[in-house]
Amino acid sequence: MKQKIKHGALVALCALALVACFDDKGNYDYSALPDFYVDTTGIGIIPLHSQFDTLRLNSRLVYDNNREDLEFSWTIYLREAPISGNPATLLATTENLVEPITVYPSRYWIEFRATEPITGRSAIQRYPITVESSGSGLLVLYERDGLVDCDLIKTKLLTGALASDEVRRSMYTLANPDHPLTGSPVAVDMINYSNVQRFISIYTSDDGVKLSPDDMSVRDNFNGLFLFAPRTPRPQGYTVPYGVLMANPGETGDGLEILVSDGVCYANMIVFASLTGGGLAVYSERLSTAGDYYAAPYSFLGFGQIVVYDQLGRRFLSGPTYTTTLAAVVGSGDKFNFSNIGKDLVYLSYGFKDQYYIYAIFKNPVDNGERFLYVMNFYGGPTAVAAWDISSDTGIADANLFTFGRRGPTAFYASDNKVYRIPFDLDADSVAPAGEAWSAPAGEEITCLELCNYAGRDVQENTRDRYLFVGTYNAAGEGKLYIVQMNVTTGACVQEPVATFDQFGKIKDVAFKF
Amino acid sequence: MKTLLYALLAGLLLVGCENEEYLYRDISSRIWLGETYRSGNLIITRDSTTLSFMMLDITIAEDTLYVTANVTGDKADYPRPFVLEVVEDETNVPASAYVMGETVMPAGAFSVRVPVLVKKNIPGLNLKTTMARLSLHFVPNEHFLPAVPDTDVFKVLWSDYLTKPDSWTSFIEGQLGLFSQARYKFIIDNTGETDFSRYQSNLPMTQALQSYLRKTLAAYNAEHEEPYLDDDETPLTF
Repeated sequence: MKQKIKHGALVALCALALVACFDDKGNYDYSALPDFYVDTTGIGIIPLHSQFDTLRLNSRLVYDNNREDLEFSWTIYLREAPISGNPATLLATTENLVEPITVYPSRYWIEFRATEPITGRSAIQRYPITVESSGSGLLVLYERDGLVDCDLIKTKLLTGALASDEVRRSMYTLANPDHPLTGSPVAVDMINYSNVQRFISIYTSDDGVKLSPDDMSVRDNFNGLFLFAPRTPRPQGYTVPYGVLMANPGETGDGLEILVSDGVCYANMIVFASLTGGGLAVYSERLSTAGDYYAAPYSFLGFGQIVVYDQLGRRFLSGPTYTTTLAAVVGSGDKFNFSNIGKDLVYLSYGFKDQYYIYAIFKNPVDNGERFLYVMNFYGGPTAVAAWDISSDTGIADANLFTFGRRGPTAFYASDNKVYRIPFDLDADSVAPAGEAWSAPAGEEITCLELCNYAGRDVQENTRDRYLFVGTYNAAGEGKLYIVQMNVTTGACVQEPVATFDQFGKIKDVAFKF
Repeated sequence: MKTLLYALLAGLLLVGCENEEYLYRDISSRIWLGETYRSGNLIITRDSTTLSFMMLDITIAEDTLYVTANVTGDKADYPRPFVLEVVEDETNVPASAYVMGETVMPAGAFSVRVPVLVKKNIPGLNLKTTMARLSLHFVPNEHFLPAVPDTDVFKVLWSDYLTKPDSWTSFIEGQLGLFSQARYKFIIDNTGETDFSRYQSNLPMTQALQSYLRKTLAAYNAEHEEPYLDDDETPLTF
């Protein structure tokens, strides 16, 4: 009996095995799915991608049906996931990617995904990408449609190493979509010291932010710049002066920044904030020991003294960087009296011959169109060097844009669409009538005038004073930046710009970003 | 033979059920007094607590300080009273100058904060010039033994003047001036700052504080007939 059961079981097992070899003759129809994949034939790697640059990727999707039925997504996420999580950022929902990459410089995956909603199947392709900082270039601060933004011009004229000129657009708003800057642009500048670019600052007429130079993201909003913030932000002028430490000649700033907001002078000795230890660097208000004052927007560092011009008392006030007070400047020289100028300041900046020479444009308290160019030297103590009447210069009464050279005795102002040069001679104590130096096309109004004051590190040494940056604005609402070549000694300008960049808003300021 | 082996195995199994005795014979709870806190990488133990009525609103006549008693050893599932005794030699206030709270370690607790209500007005003691001092000593009882030496005494100190904080260093002196009661009081009243650690070696921060104090002091003096006076009755300056 046992034998029969064993044989029976063996036969049943063989029968089952044989049945498994039969083809399934199901009662449903087969239809082949259409091709749906990413063609990786010859797909290359993405080279280093500069932050804020537009990344263009073709999906290389192969799909036999109607592509309009598909859903697309391009996402980006870190290659080395942090412990805190690694959320993907959606870049686009189009089949092909054409988007500026704004994520912080690092190594990422970019993932393309096409999904067929009917079947739920997807075609996926991942691309490794390394995003690097946007690097060196000229930041252009402008206002368009009520918002302040900045673009970055990367030009071989300044940095030399580039193969071609490029412009990164709307860097501020791309990096900070939740913190729009309103008001009118006031200034953009850098804080550098110990060969490191620490911050980028942008000020508008009702706001101010400190940005990371790595990715342009906001590090501090206006209130974060102060221990005791003024009730209402009213930035009017921002200066990053030369030579606090004198350690890195050629840098645009050495760890001090001066802000004038609502007529009050604030200074921040950032270099002494123990930043490496995480110390906060904040502004402190500079208080006058010589009565009330209302600071003009322009300030500077004169031989260890923070100097501002008091539009109330029409005098200069100064105080050492290590104190928080300002007192009336007592100078020497018979050209003018520092503590009783008696005029309103129109413009002031550094100029020829070195970082101790200051050039100032004044007008009379009751403006009768007269303008005066004063020169002072702060080396060892304030000295009145020259006081010239430039009232007869063409268009000077309407001019509010000025710039002064550092390498040669050059001075310019802009009126309407023209740039004029003021010839002067310090040794002879003389000034000649201004002449037209350059003109923008008709219909364009000059809104920004600045000589290239950057040199060293990423900027070619010979660029200082060599280029004149002229920003213009036309009736159509477009801003342009002309780079005009200038003779650093004579101030002669070449009419044909060496470079022209467009598609900006109304340009207010430029500054070099390392 | 098999029967013998089975019996031996059963015996071993039964031995495995026996409770293991504690290796530690001394399981008595002990108490130490003090509070620990972290300062950077350091754990610091404080054997006293202080209060200045100058830091409080002028109308406040009494406030509460705390003595922290900590258990080493086992917690218990019932409340355990403990004893804190006044060290007469180290105490300069009468019993009427304070009110001690209940000294009981709650069930299941490893520490308790005993409130001590201290008074600003003490007959015979001028808190404007002298620090009130109450020294408490832990006394063993049936529930607790003393813990390590030097942790059985805790001091409660209070005054009506300000003491110079440790963070008022020479760097702070350089920016804000030498410590004085009036100077510190002005800073506290106008900024709330009592710890100047974050200002150390940070010129922008101390300049911002100095500038704010100067401006605030100038506003005060402009609003009052008498200027704000320093301890030596001269006008305060920053």
